[in-house]
Amino acid sequence: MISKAEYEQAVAQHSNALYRYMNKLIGNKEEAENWVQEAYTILWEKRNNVDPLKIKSFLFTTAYRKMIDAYRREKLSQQFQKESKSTFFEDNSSFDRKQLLEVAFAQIKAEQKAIIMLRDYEGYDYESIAEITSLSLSSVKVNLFRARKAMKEVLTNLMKERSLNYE
Amino acid sequence: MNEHEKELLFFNLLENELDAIERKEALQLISSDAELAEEWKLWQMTVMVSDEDNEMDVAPLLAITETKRGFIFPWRAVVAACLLIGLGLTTWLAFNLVTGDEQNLAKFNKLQDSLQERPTKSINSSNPFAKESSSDSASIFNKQSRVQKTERRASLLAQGGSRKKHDPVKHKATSADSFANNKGQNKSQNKGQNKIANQDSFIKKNVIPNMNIQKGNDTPIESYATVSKKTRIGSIKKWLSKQKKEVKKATSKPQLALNKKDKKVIISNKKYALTIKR
Repeated sequence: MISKAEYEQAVAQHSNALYRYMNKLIGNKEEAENWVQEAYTILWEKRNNVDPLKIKSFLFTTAYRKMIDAYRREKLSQQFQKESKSTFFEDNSSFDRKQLLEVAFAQIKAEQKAIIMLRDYEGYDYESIAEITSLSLSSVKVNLFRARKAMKEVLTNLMKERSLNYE
Repeated sequence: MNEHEKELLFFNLLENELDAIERKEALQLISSDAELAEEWKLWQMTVMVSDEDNEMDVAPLLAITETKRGFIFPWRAVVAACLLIGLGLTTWLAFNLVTGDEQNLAKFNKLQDSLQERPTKSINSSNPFAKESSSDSASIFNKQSRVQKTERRASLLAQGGSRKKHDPVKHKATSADSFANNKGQNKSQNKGQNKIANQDSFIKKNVIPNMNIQKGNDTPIESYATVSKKTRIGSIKKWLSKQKKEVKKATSKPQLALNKKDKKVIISNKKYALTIKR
């Protein structure tokens, strides 16, 4: 059971990380805030059934499921991909590694994005990622490998185009 | 190394899946080859970097503990419950309708039993030969005919058929009224036949003793028509036997008798006698 003090501590420790996670996945700050609030609301409603040591994984699992629902509707991802791509090609002079990475990140699948975020942003190991995403350990490794490979290929293409544009 | 092996090497190196010795050897290999070094650089770029300056307002999250969610009407649960209740009611009603016929049949059987026991009322007043309920023969006959009707109704119900307006009854003269009327009409036509002075005494003698009312079996009930046939056959038999006797008498051996005084010869048998004069 989670007490009010433990809940407030969870808000202080994990709210920003969860927000960045949702924002990176969805690409919409307002929607990300709504879903973070939804995740914490569910945590408070089910406080009697949640282990205090697993609050972070509970929050990320809830947020991940919300994200999967959003990408199944295929509204936000298409919108985000269009906006990010157009920004890169319109303003070549101000691109940097971060922008390149965001464009490459937008090209991969939703499940792969979530795994990348959990691995790189939050530093989760394979077992924790498998628990949050409800995938097997081998599936997590395979999806992570495919995500990095896809991002690397996008970056390769972008770098080639960049060198051609400058020529 | 082929392309796939290279990719696996870079991935394991990036994810720290190699031990210290393997990692050292891999890094030496990459540094010695420019193409591998370029590719390794791209793989390293795939690691996402967290933007720490991106933060949200936590005040709404802390306010969650103070507020309660409004009541959400469970539409789905209500609809599912209504469907289940409707299904149960429909099943119950259908079951009751099916068993209703059996209950009606039981009621008719009970009615039949009660009809056999309780005293019957007087017959139709339009019958000129009708008497009050003190007439035992008529009341018994009417009670038995009523019992027949209920039996017929019960059998129709059991078979699942509907009640017909006119039940075709193959028995002739099943009611005392119809028989009395027919007899009254044909009375003038009967020449030399037995005249029925009293309907009740006739029914008592000829009809009732031959009526056999049974429940639940297929033996036919005897009617008036079969009774008269029997009597006719009996009378014919009697006449035959009589005629045989006459014939026997007529064909008996003749005897010769002589009368000297009158000078006559007489030839006779049991029936005939022939006299010859000299």
